[in-house]
Amino acid sequence: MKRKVLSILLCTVMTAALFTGCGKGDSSSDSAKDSVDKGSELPTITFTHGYYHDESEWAAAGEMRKIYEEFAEMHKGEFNFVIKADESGAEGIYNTALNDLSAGGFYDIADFGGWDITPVASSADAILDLKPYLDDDADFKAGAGVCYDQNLTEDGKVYSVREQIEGVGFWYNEALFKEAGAAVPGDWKTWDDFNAAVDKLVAAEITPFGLNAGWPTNILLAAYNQRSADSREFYEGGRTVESFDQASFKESLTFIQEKALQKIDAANFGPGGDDDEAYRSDFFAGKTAMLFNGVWDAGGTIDCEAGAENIRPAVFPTDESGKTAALLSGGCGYVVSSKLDEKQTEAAIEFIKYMTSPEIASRIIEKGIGMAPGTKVDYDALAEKVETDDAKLLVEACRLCQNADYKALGLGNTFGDAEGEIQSKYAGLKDGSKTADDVVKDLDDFLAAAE
Amino acid sequence: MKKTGTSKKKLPSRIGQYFVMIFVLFISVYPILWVFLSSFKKNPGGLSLPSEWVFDGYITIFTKLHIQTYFFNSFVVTIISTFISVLIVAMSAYVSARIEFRLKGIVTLMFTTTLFIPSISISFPIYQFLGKLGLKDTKTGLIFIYSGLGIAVTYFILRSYFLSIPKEMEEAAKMDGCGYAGTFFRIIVPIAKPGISTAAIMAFLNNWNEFYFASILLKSKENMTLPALLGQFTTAYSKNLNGMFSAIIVAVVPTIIIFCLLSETFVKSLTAGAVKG
Amino acid sequence: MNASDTYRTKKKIFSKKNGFILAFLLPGIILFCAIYAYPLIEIFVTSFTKWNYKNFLHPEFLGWGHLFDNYIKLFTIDRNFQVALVNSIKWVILTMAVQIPFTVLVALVLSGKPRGWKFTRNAFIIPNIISTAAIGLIFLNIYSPSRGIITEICNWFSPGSNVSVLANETYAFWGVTFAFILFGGSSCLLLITQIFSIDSSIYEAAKVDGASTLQTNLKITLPLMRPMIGTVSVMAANYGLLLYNEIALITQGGPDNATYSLSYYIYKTALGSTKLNFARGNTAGVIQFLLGLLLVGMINKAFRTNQSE
Repeated sequence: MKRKVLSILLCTVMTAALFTGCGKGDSSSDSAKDSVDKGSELPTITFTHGYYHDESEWAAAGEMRKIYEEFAEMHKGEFNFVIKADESGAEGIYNTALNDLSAGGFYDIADFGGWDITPVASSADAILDLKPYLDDDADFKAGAGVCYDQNLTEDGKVYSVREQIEGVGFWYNEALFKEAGAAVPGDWKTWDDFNAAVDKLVAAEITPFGLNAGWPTNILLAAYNQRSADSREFYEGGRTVESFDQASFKESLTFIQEKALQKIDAANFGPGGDDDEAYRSDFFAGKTAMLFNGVWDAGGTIDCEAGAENIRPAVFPTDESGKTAALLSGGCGYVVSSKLDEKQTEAAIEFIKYMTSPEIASRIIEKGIGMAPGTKVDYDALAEKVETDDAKLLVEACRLCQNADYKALGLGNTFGDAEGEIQSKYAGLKDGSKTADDVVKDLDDFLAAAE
Repeated sequence: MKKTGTSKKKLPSRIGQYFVMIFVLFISVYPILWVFLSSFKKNPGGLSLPSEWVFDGYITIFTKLHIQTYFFNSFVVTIISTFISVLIVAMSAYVSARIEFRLKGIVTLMFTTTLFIPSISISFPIYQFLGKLGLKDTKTGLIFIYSGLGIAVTYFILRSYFLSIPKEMEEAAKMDGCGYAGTFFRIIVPIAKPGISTAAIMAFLNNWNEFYFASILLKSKENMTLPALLGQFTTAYSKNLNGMFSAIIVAVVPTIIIFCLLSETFVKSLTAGAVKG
Repeated sequence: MNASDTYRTKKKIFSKKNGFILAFLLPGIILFCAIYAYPLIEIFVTSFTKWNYKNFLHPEFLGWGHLFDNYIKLFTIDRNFQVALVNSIKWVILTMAVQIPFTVLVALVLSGKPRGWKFTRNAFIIPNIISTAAIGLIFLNIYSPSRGIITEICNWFSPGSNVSVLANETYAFWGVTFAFILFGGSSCLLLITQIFSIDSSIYEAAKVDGASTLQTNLKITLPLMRPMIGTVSVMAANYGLLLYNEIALITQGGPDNATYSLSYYIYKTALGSTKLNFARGNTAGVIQFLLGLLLVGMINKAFRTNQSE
């Protein structure tokens, strides 16, 4: 008897728990709760971003917050624009969104940075297609710039745009190139010239570049993939890649192994990760001749030991004589909930328009935060306008990226999760324990496992 | 004569003894000492002593990071969850230690299995569950989870302690007209104090130090606990090394100080309930 | 008549008792169901589904013909899972082979009450009472090539050697291992108490027979400590099996995924990748859970320490 009572009870509780678990879709969304007005008649939307850092830690974060606040101030008669900083950054926002989605909720509007929430969120039908708004307003579309094409999904929707993009070429130390008697990147015609310059630098006992099992090496790999029509074609299909066993990709890996990783000693190769910045600090200390990093690192030249006057931006060569390549990745950026009412949606769109407007674009560049996605940004005019040396360098770097013959997405945007797998192989390539064929096999195993 | 004989025999083993002890001291204390010294260096790290003593890190974490908020949060969450968890588990443990009923085995099995349920894999369903209750990113949500974490350990400590209490105690209470609940709260709980404090200390430490749930559940500064804050120091753009080293020290030193002050009581109660008889 | 009377009174007593049992067990059961049973059932059920970013809200049952597809995939094609499984088993074995003997040795030494034994005992507990997040951060810094101490020490022996512990697959595994394996302070405390509770007359007898300290330790103390060694083994092995914090903070599974643990694999597969493969992660969770049960069964059998008896 007792046993029965208890076991029935246990079963009931468990089943009840299970059922509530299944009724995910029914629960009311967060946004609906948030939209309830307290006191005022104005519609309210909450914007969540990851720029929580103290200004002393990262000046750009403070500037971004200022930009948001100005918007809220500007529209305070029309709607309440609540700004929230997530202390765990864009990654934290992404993780929260995943969990919220499973409970049927989503942020009103949030900046996901480079963390692409759109495949999941759109399959859950939780986010707004921005394409109609972009198509409707030519200025808006121009402001969103490359994001429009990059974020256009297969079924013709644009779920996100961003106010800045990662424009990536590289930086070099002109003095060290001259010292080694190597041709400077501006004079390079093809990757052969890159190799020749590296050899000259090495011969002159100058470390050509610092790398690690991550970011800077990924940049070089992505850039080398733009060298020919074949490799570009493979690279473009990266999102849906079924096998890495392609001659052009293997050739790229071999290049990374023999012409990059094995040209430097172990001291210049770090483990990768957020913390591993030796490749940067060594360059700005004047110890290495090239730095593979984005345009925003113009800020690194301020008061650096290498001498700001020696540092120049450049874009990558290809194997087509004289043609250049750069990486321009928008990433995810602003995503808006589909559950907002008309007025809230308007406010959210207004905000995105503001963030992609030419004023903010030039501010983002002038303050050295990054490169704007807009196709209409006039870098020549900006070059006249900016005053500080580092801003001038940034504008110059952006201009080079903008004018490159081939523009491609970064490695992460192209290969998604496989990026992590690729970069984890660099250590093996460097010490020779892995060949390009081994890496390709491992990567294909990974793809098979991930389906 | 006899005495010297024994000490001669013991000499190598005594060296061995002290070797073991010094090694234990080294591995336990040195890492923290290293962080402590490093936290005062301009460029934290390395083996040397600080050439000049810098307090920037500490100033930053108290004035800009407001580490005291996190501290307070940790404290509130830990105290409440420990109380709830010990109370609830004590009741279950008492019933299963004292009263014969058919499903006893299942109850024990239930609490035992919780020890081996990986918190990572259950975290996602739990998060959804909290979302439905509207408890995401709240102290209440975290208290709820912490109340349930580590119930296996609490259960075993308490159950074995209750088993060690002579049955005559309750029989006497029953004679005096105490009901089951009255017997438990008025007679058993006071007697079982050492066992309960053991369980409470274990639960307190676990909850105070819990990192995984805190790091995924808490987003806002107002609710974040110390371990969750420490976890953030590994994220990008956190280049404030002094701050990181100082935060580690601020997070661990109070625990250590409290432990040193209370070590005798702590050790006594930690062992009183754990060893039967 | 008589019989039914007795039955009635008995029933009355029972119902009062039952009410009490129910009232006292219910909070515990509810807590258990909310935090463990429901999630556990969910991970078990969803291990037989297809559930990833494409059908995020609606797991699809795989069908009877493909019931074990997730399990089969883990063992046949998922290299990261296989690495994680092997690592987790290694860590379990290492805790049993290193942490337990080391802790027992320390307990034996300290139970002889040499000078400073209390201080040592208390110091040994410190790494166990501070947050693993702090321990993880500390070791992350100790291993750092730019500010850590390992590189500096290596440079004493061979100047210019640029050892980066976390960049090498083998070193990184041991780096994670040493961030937890020697910290058996609270187990040590339990063991010492167990030793002290051994009847001193047994030692008197041994002394009369002329047994050396080593002999007494091996022949008398160790066998009597067996149940407690069993208990601390269960806890330690379980820690090794569920290892997550140290990995999340120190290596993030790298380099080349060489330091994945089962817990870290589950996190990465379910939440840490854009594929959100919950089904696969939950399948690994089921395997981890079953491994845990198996492990306890084995340890309990070896030490015969079923506490509930």
